[in-house]
Amino acid sequence: MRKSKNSLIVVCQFILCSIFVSDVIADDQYFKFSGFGTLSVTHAGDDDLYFRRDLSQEGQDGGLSLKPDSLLGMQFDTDFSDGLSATIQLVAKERPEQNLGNSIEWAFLNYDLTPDWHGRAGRMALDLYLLSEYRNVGFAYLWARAPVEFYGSMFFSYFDGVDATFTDRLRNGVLQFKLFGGQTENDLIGENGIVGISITDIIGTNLSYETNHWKFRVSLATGKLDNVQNDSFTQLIDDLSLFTAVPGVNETVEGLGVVDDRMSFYSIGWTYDRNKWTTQLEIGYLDSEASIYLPYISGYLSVGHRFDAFTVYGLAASVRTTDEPYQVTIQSGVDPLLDNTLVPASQKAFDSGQMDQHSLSIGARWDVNPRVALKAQWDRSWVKANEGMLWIQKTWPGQDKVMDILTINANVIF
Amino acid sequence: MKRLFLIIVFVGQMLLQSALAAEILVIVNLQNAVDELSHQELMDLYMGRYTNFPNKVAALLLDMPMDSEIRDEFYRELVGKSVAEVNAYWARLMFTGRASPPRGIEDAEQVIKFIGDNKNAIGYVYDTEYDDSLKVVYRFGSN
Repeated sequence: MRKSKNSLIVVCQFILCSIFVSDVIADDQYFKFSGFGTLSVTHAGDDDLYFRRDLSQEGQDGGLSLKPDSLLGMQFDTDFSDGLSATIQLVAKERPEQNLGNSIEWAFLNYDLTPDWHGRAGRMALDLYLLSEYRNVGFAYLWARAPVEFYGSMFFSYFDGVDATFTDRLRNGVLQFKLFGGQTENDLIGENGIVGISITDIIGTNLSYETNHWKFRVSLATGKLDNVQNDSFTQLIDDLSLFTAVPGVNETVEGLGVVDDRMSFYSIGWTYDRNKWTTQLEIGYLDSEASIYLPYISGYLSVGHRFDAFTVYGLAASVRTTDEPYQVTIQSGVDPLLDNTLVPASQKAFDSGQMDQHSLSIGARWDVNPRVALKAQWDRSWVKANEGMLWIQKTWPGQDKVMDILTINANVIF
Repeated sequence: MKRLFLIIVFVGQMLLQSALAAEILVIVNLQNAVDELSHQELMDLYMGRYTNFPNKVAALLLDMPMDSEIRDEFYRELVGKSVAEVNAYWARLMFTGRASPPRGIEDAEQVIKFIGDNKNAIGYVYDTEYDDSLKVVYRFGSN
């Protein structure tokens, strides 16, 4: 409670500061400090399903909470010399482990190789989807949060590596092509605590074309799930390994372990913004070789209409794992520990990676002034029994649930 | 007859007003190789989509203060969006370090001085504030 009180005070201070910060920079030496923040109250979750914005959160079990969406970001940009610049961005938000290293969202050097080619090295956004680069910046998008069905399983937001971007005008629009590669280590929260996950050998590309009113984007990326660290998970594998002579145990241990299991991301995105209407659509597919991280398809469609400073919108989103979970088939009657504990725990580890839910949302955004936007949103989510990986599933086995999420938030940039 | 007279006076006033309304001019340094920008090129520059001049030289974009009338008018005429909408759009680019938003400058006098000192700078002022030490590359209303 004290923690959330403190974070509330910090967010309030920055919102107040932001109102008085000037945007005027007239010096030749270019050093810029800017930031963004969201102060958000959510009413969501119950004893069976804890609500969370993404897999990195421990979840909200009812009542009111500031935790899911409140955050504060600060960015420093500087130009060194011809074509070389640097960016550092720190984000304070709900995380599995709070430390400075985790809070560094971006830290990279940018170099203009030619007028149209830019190269970067360091820590950057893993640019898989339309909102990947600005998911934390509530002011930059319409909804109370990025659609959970699409973005909630993305517990990693950054990677360490390099990228190269080509941009040029083409007819009445601008074409952008990006290549990137690197690795990432991030934490998510499962029912048994923090799970550290490494993805290595990431290589990806995206191509977008943007005109005055619409943007189309296609993106592909692949990486290897290299390491999954979780104490109870490791214990389960260790305990199972005592029974390697029992038929079925080796296959189960192999399924629980991840060694170079490949994950591939495919997505298309489209936005259309003209006159009073703003529309956005994204469809994604994740292919995975890992038994504990199942392939899934997800998508959303949003339609908004502007009335001066107000925009009202509707949003439909859906996600579903496309493979059935691995079925543990270990010979029974050998040892009670296997039958009563290890087999059910293993099966739960495979089953709890399932997702099948969809949501309908309505909401409104009010641009109070050029730096402050207030939003209110109501989501209704239909979550299938035992297929709610996006939530913390406290009751197992569970049942089909209909969940409501109410959110009010203030978003600022400064 | 009286009605006709009133209509003539009214139309005359409208014409006079529109003739007197200050136009926004987009200006660059005299040494800048660019002589003219299309509406599309100007939109791509100020929306951060493509921040080079047509001759591939990186542009240094200047903006007027956030709450100024000219800024509001400039973006409404350029892209038909409010300053808040433009800010939300820019927030997507600036908070990823992909592009730097235009630098805010205090007033027209400072804009003119800054452009005079920087070959690759581009900004906008009302025609009443403009002097011929700079080059006009786009004129709202006549394009």
